[in-house]
Amino acid sequence: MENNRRQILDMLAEGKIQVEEAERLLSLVSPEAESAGSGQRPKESRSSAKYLCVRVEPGENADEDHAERVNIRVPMALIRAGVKLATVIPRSSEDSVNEELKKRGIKFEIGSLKAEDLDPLVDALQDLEVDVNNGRHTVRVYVE
Amino acid sequence: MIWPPSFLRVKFENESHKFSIWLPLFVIWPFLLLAAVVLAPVVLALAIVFWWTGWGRPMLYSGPIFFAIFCALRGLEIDVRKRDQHVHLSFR
Repeated sequence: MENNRRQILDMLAEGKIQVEEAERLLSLVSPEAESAGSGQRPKESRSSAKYLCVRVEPGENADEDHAERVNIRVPMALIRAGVKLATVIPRSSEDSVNEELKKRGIKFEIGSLKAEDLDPLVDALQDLEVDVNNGRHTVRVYVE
Repeated sequence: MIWPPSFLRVKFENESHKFSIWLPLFVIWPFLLLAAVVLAPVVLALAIVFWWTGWGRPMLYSGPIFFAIFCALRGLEIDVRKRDQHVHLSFR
């Protein structure tokens, strides 16, 4: 099942499929879908991931002045609470928030953010590890 | 239930200075509870008055959500090092 999820995420990252298609496929390979097919009781939907970690380490070409190390560990509960806060933004303010996000190059409707959408996203993150290496820095984003 | 963080650890270090402190956040727990009890009727009244403007709902829900955010801070860790400088912040 893990391989299927990874394949779907890889296809999404490569642009072979759209987000909607990825969501549909992920829902098909989710534990609930599998257990429904086998007649087993569905697993607890809440993700077991507790922290979102971001690590920045100096790369092999980093000089002494740029040898920064950053280690940030954010509890998932904090992200969930933040999403809940976003859901109570009044409609009158949504437009200005969306406009500011658009100015910064983020095409996102803050009104479409829902607390219940976060768990599937976090579940998907469990299989995802982002590694960026530009020689000077190595950035790693993962959940634990 | 997630309990609010009990301690905030702040550590700062550079070539000439070194500073580390554990702030006992549990000291402010009773004050937060007291503030919540005192402010609850006021917030409720304001939420009813301003409901038609669209701000009533945020007023009503923001208190519990901010409390949830405060509780969720437990476990947050930020650690930044650069040459001889080191900043560490963690909620326990």
